[in-house]
Amino acid sequence: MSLLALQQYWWMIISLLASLLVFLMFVQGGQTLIYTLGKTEPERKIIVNTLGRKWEFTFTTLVTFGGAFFASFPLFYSTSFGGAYWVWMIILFAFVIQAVAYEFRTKPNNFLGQRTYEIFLFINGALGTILIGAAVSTFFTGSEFLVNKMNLTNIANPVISQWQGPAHGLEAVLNWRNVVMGLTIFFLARVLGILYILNSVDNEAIEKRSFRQLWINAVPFVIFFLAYVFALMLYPGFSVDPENGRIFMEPFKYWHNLTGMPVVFILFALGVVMVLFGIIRPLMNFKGCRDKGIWFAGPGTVLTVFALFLLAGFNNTAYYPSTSDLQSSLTIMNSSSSRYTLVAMSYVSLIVPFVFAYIIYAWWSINRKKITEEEMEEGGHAY
Amino acid sequence: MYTVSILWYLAWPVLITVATVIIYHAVKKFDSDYKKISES
Repeated sequence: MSLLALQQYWWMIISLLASLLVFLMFVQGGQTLIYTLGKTEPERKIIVNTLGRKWEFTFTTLVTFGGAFFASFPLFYSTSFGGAYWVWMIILFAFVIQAVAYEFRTKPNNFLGQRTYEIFLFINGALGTILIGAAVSTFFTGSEFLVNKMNLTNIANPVISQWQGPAHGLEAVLNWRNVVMGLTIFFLARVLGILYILNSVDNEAIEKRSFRQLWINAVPFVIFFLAYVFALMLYPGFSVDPENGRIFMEPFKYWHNLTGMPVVFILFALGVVMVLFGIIRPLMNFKGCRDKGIWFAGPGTVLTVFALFLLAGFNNTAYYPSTSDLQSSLTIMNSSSSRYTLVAMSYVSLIVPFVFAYIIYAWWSINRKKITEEEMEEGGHAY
Repeated sequence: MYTVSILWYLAWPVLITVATVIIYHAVKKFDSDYKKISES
C-alpha cells in the first residue's frame, strides 16, 4: 500500500474506534441516571449491575483509541496529550474513579461508603461524556498550539509542539460549539443508557421511569445535535492544498466534504435516521418496541460518529487544526508515523477483528437473559 | 495498489466472522468438556 493509503487506513481505524467509544458511552449515560431510574436500593443495584457488566468494554475501547492514535498519528498524540493535558487528565481521572467505584462499591468495610461510589459514577458519566465531546469537537473548531519540527535540533528545548493557551485544553469549553458537542454526547449517552437498560432489565418500575426519561433526554439531544451539525456545515473549515500541503480556511468546508464523499454522506444520513428511529419507536409504541431501540440507535451512533470523523480527516482536511498558526494544523499526511511503522502496525491491526469477535461473543453471552431483582438477591458476583 | 487496499478492508468483516465462529465453537467445546468432567 502507498503511504497515503496507509494513512487513510489508519484514520479509518481511529474513526471506527471513536465511533464505538461514543456508542459504548451508554454506560456513562446510564450512570448519571442511577438515582433517577432507581428509587429503591434493589432497583439501583439492578441498574448498576446491568451497566457494570459492560463498563470494561467502554474503558478498553477508550484505551485502544488512545493507543491506536499513538501508533499511527504520534504527532497528534504528543501535541494534544502533551499540550491539552488538563482536559485529558480530568477525563482520565473521571475514568479512574469509575473503575474504583465498580470494584469497591459493595465491598464490605470500605471506608467511603456506597453513596460515594455512586457519586463517582455520576461524575464519570457527566464529566467523561461532556469533556470527550468538547475535546473531539476541537477537531472541527481548532486549538491553540504551534508545531515546529525544526525544534528537534534545539538542544536546550527539543519540543516539537507547544501549547499556547495557559488553560492547557480547558479553554475548549469557552467555545460554544465545543460545549454544544459536549452536551450532545452527554444527552446521547443518557438516551443510549436508557435504551440499553430497557433492553437488558426486567423490572416494571424502572421501565416506567425510563419511558419518561427517554422523552426528557431525547429532546435536548436532538436540539443540540442539530445545532452542532448546522453550525458545522455553515462555518468555514480547515482545508489542505494537496499540491503543497498549505492549510487555508474554506467556506462551507465540511458541507463540501459531505457532498464530495457520497459514501460518507450516505453513512451519516443512515446513522442519523437509525438513531432517530431507535428513539422514536419505543416512544410511539412503548409496549411492543421498548427493548429494541438500542439495536437501531446503537449502530446508528456508530455510523454517524464514524462519518463525522471521516469528514474531519479525509478530502484534504486538517483534522486537528491550530487557531494560533494555521500552518501548524495537523493532517493525516503530516502527522502520521513513518511508512515502516504504519506497515508493521497494519499487520498488527488484523488482530483487532479477533478482539471485536470476542466482544460480540461476550456481549451475547452476558445479555442472553434479562437481569431481574431475584437474580440480584441470589448472590454470586455483583457490583 | 487499490486491490491491496480493498483486500485489506475486506479482511476485517471476514476475520470478525471467522473469529466469532471459532470462539463460539471453542466455548461450546469447553462447556461440554467441563460438564463431562463435573458429572464424572
